[in-house]
Amino acid sequence: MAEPVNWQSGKNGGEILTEKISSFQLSILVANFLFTGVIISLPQVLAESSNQVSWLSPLVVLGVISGFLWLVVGKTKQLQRLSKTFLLGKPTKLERVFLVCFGILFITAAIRDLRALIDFVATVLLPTTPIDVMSILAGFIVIYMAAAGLEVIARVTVIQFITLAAVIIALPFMLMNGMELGNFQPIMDVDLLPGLAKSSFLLLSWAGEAIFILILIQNLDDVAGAKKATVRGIVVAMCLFALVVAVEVAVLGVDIVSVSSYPSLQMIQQINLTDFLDRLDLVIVTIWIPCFIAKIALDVYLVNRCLTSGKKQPNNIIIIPLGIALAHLSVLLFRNNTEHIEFSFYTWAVWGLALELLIGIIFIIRRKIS
Amino acid sequence: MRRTSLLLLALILSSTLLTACWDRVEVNDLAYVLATGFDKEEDGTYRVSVQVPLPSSLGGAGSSGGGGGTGEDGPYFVDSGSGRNIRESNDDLQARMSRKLYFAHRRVVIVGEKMAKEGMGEILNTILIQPQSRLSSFIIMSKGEALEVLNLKNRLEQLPGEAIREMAKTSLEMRAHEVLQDIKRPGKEGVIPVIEKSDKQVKGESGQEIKMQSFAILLGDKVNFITNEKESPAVLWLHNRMRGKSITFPYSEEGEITLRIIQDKVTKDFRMVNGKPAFTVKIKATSTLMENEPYISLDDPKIYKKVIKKMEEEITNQVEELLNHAHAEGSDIAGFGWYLYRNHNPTWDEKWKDDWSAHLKDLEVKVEIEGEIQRMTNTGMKVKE
Amino acid sequence: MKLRRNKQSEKKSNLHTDKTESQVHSSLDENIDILKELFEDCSDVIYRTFKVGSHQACIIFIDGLIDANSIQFHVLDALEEASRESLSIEIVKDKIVSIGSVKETEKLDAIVKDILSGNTGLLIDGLNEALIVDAKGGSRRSVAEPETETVIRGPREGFTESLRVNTALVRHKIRSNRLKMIAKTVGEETQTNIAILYVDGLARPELVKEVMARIEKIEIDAVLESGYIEELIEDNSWSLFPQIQNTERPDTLAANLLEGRVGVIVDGTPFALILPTTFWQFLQASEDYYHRFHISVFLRVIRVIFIFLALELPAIYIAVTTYHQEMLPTNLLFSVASSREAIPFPAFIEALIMEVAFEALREAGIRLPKVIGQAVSILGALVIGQAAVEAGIVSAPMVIIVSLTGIASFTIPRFNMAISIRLLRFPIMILAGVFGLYGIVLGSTFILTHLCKLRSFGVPYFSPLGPLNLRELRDVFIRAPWWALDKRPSQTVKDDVRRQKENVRPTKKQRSGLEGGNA
Repeated sequence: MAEPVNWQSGKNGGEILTEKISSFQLSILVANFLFTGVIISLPQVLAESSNQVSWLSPLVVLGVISGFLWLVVGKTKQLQRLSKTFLLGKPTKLERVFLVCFGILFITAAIRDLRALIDFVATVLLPTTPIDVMSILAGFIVIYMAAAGLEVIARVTVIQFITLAAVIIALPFMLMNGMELGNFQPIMDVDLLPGLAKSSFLLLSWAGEAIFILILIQNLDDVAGAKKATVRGIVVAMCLFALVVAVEVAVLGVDIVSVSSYPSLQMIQQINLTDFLDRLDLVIVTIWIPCFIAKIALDVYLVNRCLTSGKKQPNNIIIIPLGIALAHLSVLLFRNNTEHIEFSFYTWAVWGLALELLIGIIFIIRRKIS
Repeated sequence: MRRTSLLLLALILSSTLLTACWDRVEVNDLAYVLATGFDKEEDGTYRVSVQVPLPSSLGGAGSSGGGGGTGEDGPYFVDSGSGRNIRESNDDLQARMSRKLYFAHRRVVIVGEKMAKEGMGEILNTILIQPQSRLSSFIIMSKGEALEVLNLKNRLEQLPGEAIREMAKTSLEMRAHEVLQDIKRPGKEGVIPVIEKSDKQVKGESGQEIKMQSFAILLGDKVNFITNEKESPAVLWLHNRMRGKSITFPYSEEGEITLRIIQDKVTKDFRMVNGKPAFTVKIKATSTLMENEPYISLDDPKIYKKVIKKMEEEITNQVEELLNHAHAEGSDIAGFGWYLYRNHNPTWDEKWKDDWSAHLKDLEVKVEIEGEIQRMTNTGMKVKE
Repeated sequence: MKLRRNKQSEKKSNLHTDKTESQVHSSLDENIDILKELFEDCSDVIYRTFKVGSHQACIIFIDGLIDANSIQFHVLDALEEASRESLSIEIVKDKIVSIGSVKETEKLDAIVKDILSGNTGLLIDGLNEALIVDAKGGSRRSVAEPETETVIRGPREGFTESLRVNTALVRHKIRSNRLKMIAKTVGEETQTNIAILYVDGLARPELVKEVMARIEKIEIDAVLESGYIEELIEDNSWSLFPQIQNTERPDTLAANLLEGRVGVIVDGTPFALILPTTFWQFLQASEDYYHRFHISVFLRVIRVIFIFLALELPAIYIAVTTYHQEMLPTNLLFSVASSREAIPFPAFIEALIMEVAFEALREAGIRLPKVIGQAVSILGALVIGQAAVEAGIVSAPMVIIVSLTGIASFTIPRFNMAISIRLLRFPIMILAGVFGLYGIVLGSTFILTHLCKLRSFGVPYFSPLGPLNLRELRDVFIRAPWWALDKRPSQTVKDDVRRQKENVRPTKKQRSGLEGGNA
């Protein structure tokens, strides 16, 4: 579980070793990466298209994406061999294409996530604060975290995500009184299948972001366990998400979920454990925000890895301009939050999925070549 | 690297601090709305009334009070504004306030009778859209104008809004999201508690108080009818809310018996009779003996059975009366249609979906009560023979 | 000599001039002349010349640093008795001077160094060697109860200013030949002795090497306290968090040595350094391990909660009352609102004033003599707590918040960690004042990231929480009973991991043996 100790002595130099993360950390990174992103407003579109069975679509997606990644990652031995050559040194042509696709995917992901965070904060916490100011602040913290490196991101994520997961698991108990199981009925209806397919498709590209692990294979402590760790992460994320969607539908009903832009927030507002503990929603929000920031930091870290791959300079040289540019773009690219939500619901479903498939295919080819 | 990041930090901090604090509002610059009343005027405009506590006279360490400013009497005041829609009415109200109206602590929403009969959809939507207000606020209908009810004082609580909330909690709490869900559910109609004025019953004191006894049965987002004294307990029976309440019924000429319900459970049984749906409502009620006017001895199995029978009759009467009334008016308050929607969905879509209200009128409903007196501490003594 | 010195001081510091490198002359007068020149204007250097038989002799020492009795008895008296014999340095050393540690030297600078460190030089006319007699003495504080780390249960002895006493105190605890103490000297002028302590086989050799390397790099004129060394060898000197722990307690140091850490004892201060350190060590008191574990578990949980409060409470108050009024329960909000009704300041300014006032009050209380210190705190409590509220300048909830924060920061057992938390409170308050909860969350995330990024001598500062090691969390948020703490922390100890035999929990079997005997 623990990561290996680095014996780097402060300023006195010594060679900085490659950062290594354990399988457990990888799982949590994947889980956090997938879960914190989808939880914001995706339940809305799921409920809109698949009504009371929307909680099934994370489970469908879970199967599809796990299978896809299982296929992409391939045999353990091949991967172990690959981890010693892949993206080390000067990139080959194939690797360049890989890097370009990867970069584009995660640049857009970072911009989208940053804007999602800011829009959420603007709606819930600070309605009249200019979003540029908030994006600068968020950008700063993201840069700091991304510059700290993979190990630090992993450690922070582990701490935060476990807290978040504990809260999520406690949600059904906290909302016990308000749940109406009748909201799930009629349980299955043939008419719902196309809806379920649609909602699963919309969710697919979000879960597909787990493909980011491909660029990290040289940082894994245990390359052989990578495949399992990733799938474990996807399972955790999607099960938690299914739980959240289910509780949302049970508490609020399909109709409210499918019209509110932040259904998860609406749901946690219903928590009422005695009159005194009536306002836990913002407490839960403050647990979620750091997790999401860790996700964005990983986004930026991945983009940075992409851009500096094969270079000899210190890796962090471009991270400040990169972070600022991404923060700025996130404000500029979307006119308002509806546009952003439309983008993340519909454009992303196609755009993300296409890039993810491409990345997967390139990786398989690269793997076969070695 | 370090120097640039420090510089960046300094820049951000100074820039934010200089311009700073867009959303900052001090606690004492806000007017906390405890309860809102929505009314519709004759000319179709909206009237929004708010009840706002006056922190300075609520009492607390360090607040010197300073006299004055305590509304008419209590530590709160009521004001109202009108406009073409709800938000505009709020703005009208705001224009006459030195503090910003703050709705996040609103626990009670009172809908005036006129408005309730014309439809509450817009009110519920405003609550849903506006991020400050909460879907967990109670929805209550008032007989007459909501503004009038808000103005009535309660002597136990400092703030009437709080009193209304407490009263709703003991009878039937209907939160905004529950009402919204009921409106949207096929084959199910909502119920909201009704609050009304009542004369004070103290000698030498005149004036009015608030009373919460009856319920408004909805049809869609409109109030369909208001239950009478006999039907009201039945609403609680159907919503599983009778726990802690008492029922009183005559036993013989000698007097009445009062039982307190300690457990109640409602189940619905469905069967098809001649191609028509038929329901059985089963209510299981466990009670304790509270008052025994005829001084009967429950040890005797015969008497016990008789009491139980009387009790069951009483409840059956109440429930049947309510169901008959509601079904005649087209409101499916027990959610029979919803039951069909959930459990027999294809048939529902096929047969009943479009004209369920019509089916309701001749829906066969049987009410079965299973009564039980679990505890009696003493049966009581006959004082005079 | 990399140290910058102005010309005057260069002239005066003639310790390393050619003269001292010279040999000890056979003529006593010549030697004394050289020494007198070196110790010019040093009124505390005493030259006592006397005759041994026919030879002129002289002892040189610094008044106050030596044990006058033993010099009198073992050197002066002994030499007088033996004055008949012919004198050679060997005879004096082996037969006459009856003191534990005696050495001879030919170098004058060695004599000077030894005299400065409290030894006594003996020069005899006609011999071109000198004798150095170790009879250190003088008055130093005796072993007393450590004032900064008091305990209810546990040893009452604390380190003193004397290095030798301190090392002895540790040796008393760990009577093992694996406990190593490497002596070093740092400080060009102060020539401070330090000892680097570690347990061979537990502390990782790389760690010991790294500590030695970093200490050897120090070139400074003076080391008056272990704090000098701390700042010169820590990993990230800009971080607000202390990366090296200090302690006044020998038992704490011993316990840490046994967990594979390295200790540094510096002469002249009772504060020993312990490194590497993790964040959680600062939340642990030595007493946690002496009481039965139930109360220790409880106390540790309390501490974790309160360190959070000490950092965030005023900020949360600001954020909630000025940004997110919906978070407070309605009735609580009304009582806050009613008590804030007459207050002229915004909540943020109010909190800032109160926090700064509280810090000033605390500082005043520490610096003043104890008797007055109490008066100050009474005054402060009265003025700020009572009068300000009644005058309507500060609201009562604010006073509660500030005092709760103050109490919370006192629950942190280590003062240096309490300092970091106290300082960090202010930026978080500012963020809360500008961005509300969003600011607090971002600020806290920043701190968390920083903590996860820090390393203290290669050990992740936030371990075992970040990187997570569930097994070792049993000695972090809680303190598991001793029989469950059977392994040493994996971050510092690699080889000899086991601390005790397996399954050492007292079982029913053991008990029944005794009970059976009674029956």
